[in-house]
Amino acid sequence: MPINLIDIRKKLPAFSEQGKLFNRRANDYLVVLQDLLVKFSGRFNEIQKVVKQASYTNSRLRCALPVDESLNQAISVGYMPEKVNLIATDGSQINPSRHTRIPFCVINIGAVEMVRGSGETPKVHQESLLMDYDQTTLPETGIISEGRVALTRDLMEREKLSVYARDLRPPAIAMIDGPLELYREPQQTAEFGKIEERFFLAMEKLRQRDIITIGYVDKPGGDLFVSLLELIGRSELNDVLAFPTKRPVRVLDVDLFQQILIEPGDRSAIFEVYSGQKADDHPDQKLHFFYLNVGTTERQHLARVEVPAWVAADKSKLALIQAALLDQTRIMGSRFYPYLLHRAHEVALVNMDEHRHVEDMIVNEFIRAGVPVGEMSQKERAKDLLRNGRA
Amino acid sequence: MSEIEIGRLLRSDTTGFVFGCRLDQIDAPGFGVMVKVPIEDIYQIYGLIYDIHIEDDGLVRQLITSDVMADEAMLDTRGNRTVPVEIGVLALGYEQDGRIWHLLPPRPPLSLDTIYLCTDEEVVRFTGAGRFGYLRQIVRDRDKPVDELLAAHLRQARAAQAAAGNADWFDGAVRELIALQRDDYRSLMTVLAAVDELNLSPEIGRAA
Repeated sequence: MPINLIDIRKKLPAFSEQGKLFNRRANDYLVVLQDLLVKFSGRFNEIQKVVKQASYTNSRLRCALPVDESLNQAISVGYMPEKVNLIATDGSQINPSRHTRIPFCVINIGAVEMVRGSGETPKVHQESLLMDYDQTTLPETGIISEGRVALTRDLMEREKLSVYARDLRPPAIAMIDGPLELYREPQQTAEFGKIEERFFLAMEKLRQRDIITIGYVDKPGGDLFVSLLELIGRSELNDVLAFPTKRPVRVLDVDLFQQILIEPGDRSAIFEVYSGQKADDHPDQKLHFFYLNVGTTERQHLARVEVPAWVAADKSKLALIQAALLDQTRIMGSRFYPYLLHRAHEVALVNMDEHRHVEDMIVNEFIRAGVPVGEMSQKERAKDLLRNGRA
Repeated sequence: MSEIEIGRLLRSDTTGFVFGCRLDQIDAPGFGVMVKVPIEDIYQIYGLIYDIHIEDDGLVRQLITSDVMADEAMLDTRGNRTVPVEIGVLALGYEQDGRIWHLLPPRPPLSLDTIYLCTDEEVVRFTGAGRFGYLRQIVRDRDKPVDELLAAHLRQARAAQAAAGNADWFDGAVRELIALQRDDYRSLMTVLAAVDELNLSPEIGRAA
């Protein structure tokens, strides 16, 4: 059924009025935050103390923590070395569905390796995993959740990155799309610890080979830096400016940094992701981030770049990341996104035809082996009709 | 001479077929060049390349907006990405049990059949068999650039025939073309103009 456009149209004036109001309140709040930012920009030692103190009373505190660079600093991009080894991985999956004839799960990992400056053809890696049957259909909960599949895919991306990158010679950058760390769903408890250990093992292998590891977040929606400023605003450090006790409207880190990172290639100060409750078992891998303007003079575009502590501690490595990412996004022309991440995504992507082909292969193998094959649900059949344009 | 594989079949019909190859394989097949497709050791189809078509896609369109054309990205697109070159072939005839037929093949090739370049010996054998009957397949398809196609084909076949000691092959082929086009003055003039281009070419003159 098509959407009822008359209903939508009736609501449009009110909706855009709400948007206007939101923007006005956000702009007002940003002015307050920018005042704080200027006032406390160089006082990162005092800020560190404020954050540590706050964590005593708030065990769930999560915010940005400055390391050794001023909050409102914009660090210009340097020169790109003659040759840099680069690799990017990405993953996609076929999620199991109870509507198909046999529930199955496939994880597909793609990686592309480039020696920038060499004039050589990049190397493509691609691996597909058909997940074991008894890992797909679980005794208690039935079919494995999409969140669990996504976690397995994320872990595989990082493990494969450490394998494919093993022969790269420094200077080398290994990148993934999105946050560097694994995302944990609230219900994932016991087994997450094991998965996290494998993640740290992969990250450690990359560190031992001096391969700079980054997570590239396009259109970042994070507010860790905003949270830091709010903490400062409500602390005893702020004895001048009036500051609201509750956040009046959601604003993002990028809203603040787009006032600072004006020139193409500018990066922000480096920040640690402060997470008070976390045990510090892997200090070298502690998550850090900075913002980077990968746009042009005419059109700004900010990305967040996540790096482990051992990379954050080396300014020459940060400079290399800046130059290499700017170069990668320049290859893509008017779309400011790293070429290699785009290519890794292209290699990893499973399309609908491939999905069906894999399903047919599995069904045929089950029939050949005399294993009972279920029926596709009537709902899925109806969807097929829609897809084939016969509805 | 070893066989040069140049691609695999995408689609076909009775009068011709389209095969694909990677962008980094494109050096081998050229416009007007003769190719062959062996069909299960039973017979092989001969054809003439009449169209080379390079597809674009979203990424290629995106890359051309960039001021930075990275060599690595260009090689990646040409060597690694699934952007095939589509090459159209006009069927000219086939060979079965050692005999050449200047007729359309009994059935077209199937998906993923391998396409090879014809060797000079094969060009001589196919074009020298019978009485130029295969030229019919070329001149009757007015949707294709017939004059340019004939010129390119005659250039290849004339050189191969001359090298094999058949210097008068070219004159015979031109006489046959005049006979085939005698009722269509405008087409005949266009074809003869293209043939004239060959006669003016010093390279061909030497080969002949």
